[in-house]
Amino acid sequence: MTSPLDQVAVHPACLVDECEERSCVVDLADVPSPFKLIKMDLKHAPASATNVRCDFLFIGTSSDRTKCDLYVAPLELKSSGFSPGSVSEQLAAGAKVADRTVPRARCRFTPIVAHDGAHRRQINDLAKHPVRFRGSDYAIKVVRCGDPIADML
Amino acid sequence: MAKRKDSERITLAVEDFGPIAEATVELRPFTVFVGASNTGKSYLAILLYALHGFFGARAPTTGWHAPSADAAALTEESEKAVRTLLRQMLAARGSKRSMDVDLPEHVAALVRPIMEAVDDAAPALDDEVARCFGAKTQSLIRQSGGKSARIALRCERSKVSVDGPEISYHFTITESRPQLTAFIPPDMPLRFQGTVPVVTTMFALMRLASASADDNNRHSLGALADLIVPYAVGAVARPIHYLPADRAGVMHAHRVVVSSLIGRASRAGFGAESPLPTLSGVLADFLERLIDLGDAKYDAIAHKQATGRRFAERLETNILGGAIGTHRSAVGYPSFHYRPAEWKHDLPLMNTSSMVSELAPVVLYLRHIVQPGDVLIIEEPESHLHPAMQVEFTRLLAAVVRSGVRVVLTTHSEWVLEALANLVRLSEVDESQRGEISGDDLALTPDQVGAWLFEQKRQPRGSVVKEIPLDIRRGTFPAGFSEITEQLYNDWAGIANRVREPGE
Repeated sequence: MTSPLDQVAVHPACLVDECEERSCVVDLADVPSPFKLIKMDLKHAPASATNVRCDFLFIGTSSDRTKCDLYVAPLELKSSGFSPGSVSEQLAAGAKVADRTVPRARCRFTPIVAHDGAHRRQINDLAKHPVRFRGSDYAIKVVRCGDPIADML
Repeated sequence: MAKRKDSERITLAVEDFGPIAEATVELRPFTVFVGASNTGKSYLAILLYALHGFFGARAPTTGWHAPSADAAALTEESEKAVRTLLRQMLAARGSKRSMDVDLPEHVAALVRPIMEAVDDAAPALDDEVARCFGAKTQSLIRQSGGKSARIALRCERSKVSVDGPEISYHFTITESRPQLTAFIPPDMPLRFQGTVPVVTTMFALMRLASASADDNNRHSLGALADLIVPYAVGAVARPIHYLPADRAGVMHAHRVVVSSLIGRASRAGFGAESPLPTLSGVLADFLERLIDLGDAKYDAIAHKQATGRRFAERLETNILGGAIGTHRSAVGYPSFHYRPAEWKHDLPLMNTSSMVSELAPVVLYLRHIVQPGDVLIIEEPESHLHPAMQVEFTRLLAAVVRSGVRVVLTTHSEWVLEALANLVRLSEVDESQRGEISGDDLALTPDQVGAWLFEQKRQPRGSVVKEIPLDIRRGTFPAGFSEITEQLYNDWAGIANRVREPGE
């Protein structure tokens, strides 16, 4: 019997082990595993319907099936500040890719933006820009470049 | 070396003092201490207050007259120069002019060693620090630190160079005798600038006139050193005012506190069961200033202080929505009241909002006491203030700084820091373009503002202080508040996502 993660059909060439973009890195220590981390700008990555895309799509296996089967997180990494509206669009593009790619298992979905300095107002404005995934809206979480994302999922 | 206008740079460095493991703080016209509770912000502020007390007008000056073998070498030429200088000073005092004069090098060479011979003044500084804290100085040595607390004050005043000569004082608190040393660069020109304190000058002249004995020469040069030191240490010799965090309580209870002190003072010494209650010096001085306001002369001062009066009125209009006033009893004891705008009668402060009690002393100080050149320390001005009022108050303080008053704040408020950040950022906009921006006349340049973060560290155990430069992306001086914002936001996002998550 294949696991939900095995059913995530993506080309191996777009899978990576490290999450880094524009000199911003996020720490993958203690994330649910096994996992697949898709770098969205690689050649064989699942195509976005528009030109907009996020940087990564994380799909990890839950060790506690009472909570969910998979953790799904589109990630956008910013080396400086960000526009909440633009980030939301990028993560929404990732959500659409996830909708096509991830099996219909019970998913815990968390859109995440990593940044290296943002104004308090930008953080609070994120609340106005939720990301839609499979019929529900999800608030974007924030993490600092260099910090782990395990607790965000 | 690069030329620059007359300016001063004052740096206060401490090690193992109170909760502070180490701190080096450059005091700017608008200095902000920020950080978690119990990290030593108030300790540093009170220490600064004590140093002003020592170097300023209220300082005991014994010790500046330390004997010096060099004094005996006062030649006829030097004696004449000293005499001429002191007479010029006295004449300037008589005409109420300020004076700007360099000591001839042959006189300066005799005065520098006297300025450096300060160890006899160590107990006086120790007393002032103890008084301001209301505690023996030994108790201020950091518990997990060494066996002493070390304080260094460095003052640079220069008209000629960016890296001008620096005068420094090093004060060490130990379990036994405190130590004070001074370093005056041998090439540092000695200058007097300002209005002349007549008593010191007269004293020096009388000494010179009476005889030319070595002893008198020494005292004359010592008096000259006394005149030079306040200029050399710059702002640290200027009057300082401290508005403590518990000022609102004092505004309500000053009559009770004073009654208690007087009542117990009459029984002092008659038994251990009724010891005289103690107040820290900052609180006692605050109380004393309040009571002084019972003297009608302060009305005349307020009349003269047009700028301070304007700030007080702005605070009353824009924040308090009413006026703060003083009633005086028949014996000149003051009570303070608040009259809301358009009311016809006054309210005692105890019947007003906590914001009014908090800011009433600021109004009174600005109107009657604080003058350009003075230093005003305000602890936690955000207490009892709505964020909008915190922003308005910060902008008012910026205006006060621009008028020449130096301000030191301790704060826990992100609003204060953000308002300040906006005013610093505003200074980058060309003045001709500022008109359309709110607060266009309040801009502060980056070198006028210093924000210092007090952080608790494990190694060394205690707090460490570092400057936090303005972060343009975050639009603030990053003091850890944004991390709390993000934590709260993420908590909210996590809860919201669980609420929205599809059911089984």
